[in-house]
Amino acid sequence: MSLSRLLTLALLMVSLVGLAGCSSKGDIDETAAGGAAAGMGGQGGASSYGAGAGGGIGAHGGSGGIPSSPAELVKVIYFDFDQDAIRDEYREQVVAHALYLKNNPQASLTIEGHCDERGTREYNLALGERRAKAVRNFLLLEGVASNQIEVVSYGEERAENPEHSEEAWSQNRRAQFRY
Amino acid sequence: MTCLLSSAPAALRRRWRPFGLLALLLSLLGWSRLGVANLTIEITSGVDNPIKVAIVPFRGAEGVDDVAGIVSGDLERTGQFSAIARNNMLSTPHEEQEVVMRDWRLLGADYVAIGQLQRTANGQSEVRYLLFNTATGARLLAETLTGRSDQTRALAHRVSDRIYEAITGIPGIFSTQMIYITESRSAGAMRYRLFLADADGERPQVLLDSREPILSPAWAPDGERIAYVSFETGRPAIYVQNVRSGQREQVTNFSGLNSAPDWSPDGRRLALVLSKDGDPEIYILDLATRNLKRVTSHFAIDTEPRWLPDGESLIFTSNRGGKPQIYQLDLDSLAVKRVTYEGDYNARGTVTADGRTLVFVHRSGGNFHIAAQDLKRGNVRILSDTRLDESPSVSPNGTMVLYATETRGQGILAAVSIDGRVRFRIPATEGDVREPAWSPLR
Repeated sequence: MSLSRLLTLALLMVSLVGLAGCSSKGDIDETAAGGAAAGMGGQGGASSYGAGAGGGIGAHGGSGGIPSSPAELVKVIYFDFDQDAIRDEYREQVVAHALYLKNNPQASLTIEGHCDERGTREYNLALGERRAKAVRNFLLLEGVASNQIEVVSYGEERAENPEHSEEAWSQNRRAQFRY
Repeated sequence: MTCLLSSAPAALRRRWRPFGLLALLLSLLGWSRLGVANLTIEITSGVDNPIKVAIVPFRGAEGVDDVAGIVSGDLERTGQFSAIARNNMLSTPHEEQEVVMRDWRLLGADYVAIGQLQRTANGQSEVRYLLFNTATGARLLAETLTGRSDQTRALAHRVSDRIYEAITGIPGIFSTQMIYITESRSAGAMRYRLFLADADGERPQVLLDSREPILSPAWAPDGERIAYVSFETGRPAIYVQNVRSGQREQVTNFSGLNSAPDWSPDGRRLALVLSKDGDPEIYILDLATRNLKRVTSHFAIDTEPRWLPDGESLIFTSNRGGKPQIYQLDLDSLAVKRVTYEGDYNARGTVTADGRTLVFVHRSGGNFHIAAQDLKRGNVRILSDTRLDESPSVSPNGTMVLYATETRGQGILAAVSIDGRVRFRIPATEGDVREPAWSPLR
């Protein structure tokens, strides 16, 4: 891959992450922003993260280059009720973390798993761990070194939105990335 | 009949006390009575024909020492009793020969209690009391109890325990305690506290005060030690603390989950959940030898272990069948059998002391309720009627289930009798209250 192409991709990535970053405080628009980023990546016709990084998986499609700082990365992804599968719309964002971590072997990431308040607390603590580990396993498959990743589950103990509504619950079922 | 008691007795009304640095320091030592608002019980549903009792004001017992007032409140809060108002009493006898049964029968009283409180030497008080059946005139109790003069409440709760047992044949639970967790936010910062209080919500003390989550508090059978999970180091770890001395130690610090401790009936071991081997599994930790034994082996979530009263098996929650259900594990053979079948979310089970009833969280129609399942016959009864009910804890005499729920956006405690007839709520004055655990009998 030529340097100019890489630069173009990196610029595109920065603008996309900026878009997503508008709502990175965990409000409901996060999902929409993530979707927009993926859509624009498609329009740009860029190669996948995997291909761009030369060694990852290409199946997830997407766009961009190697993020230069954690500030460019989307720090939260959301899950379905009682599920720990990474939704397709977030795969690209997780791949971006993998690219950053592989390019910065000294960087370390803590993945926090969280749940909504429904169901029991201990079960949710276990479910939160499964969510965080699903992200960890994804990153490992992308080639990130295991010593760069820590996992901690808070279950339902740290709600992003303390309300008791469907909207709040969808914002609380999440994995957060902390560098 | 639904009896709504809109206001609690004056002695039980919530109180606010200033919170300061001193309390924070004391709470770090595991010992504080400052800065905490009492929880106050409100009966929302009682039995159809409550037993009528007259607890005559005790001689020498006024103000905070009002033994009869405390006993009346205790009995009424069970929902099984109604107490005759003082201003309706025709006389206030203190001695046996002053009790005229006909007068009490006229008021509809099934039972009448009289007594007196006396200070004795060395800061001790003595309460003498008698209980009569008004229909037969029989004297059911004539007893003397002693206790510290500055703790008349505790003495009065013991009188309530005796009267309750004399009338119903079931041990009273008025001298028991509970532990629970509160969460509050101020200026964006989270604050988690572990409390110890009397079963009626009085005399709350902070056992732990932290910026990080605290959960899963569990009583040892000795009623002195508790275990819980604290994130105070940034990661979950299990601690054991003596609620009398405040002495505390960390008993697990493995990578991954350290959660859901539950004491064996002999008080020597903890069943707990660790994910150090990859996924959440149940282990037994011997507290004296620190020997750790893994007892489940499945890639699914296995959590929320609870000992059965015989100490030979555990129940636990697992999603090994796809959805969370409750299973039973034989600790000798490690054989597992499924216990719950109704519905697609059954979790956090606990078994009553007689081993007959499983009490658990059950999802029905999208809402989470407390339910009870007869372990022999298998039939399930839903006990609670709110939508986010969790953390059931059965009273040590097996009559009531304390649990956490949510009302108007706030986490509160509530209780329901195991037969579903009596309900009460314990509204919180601030923050969210949750994860109640009822102490053993004392």
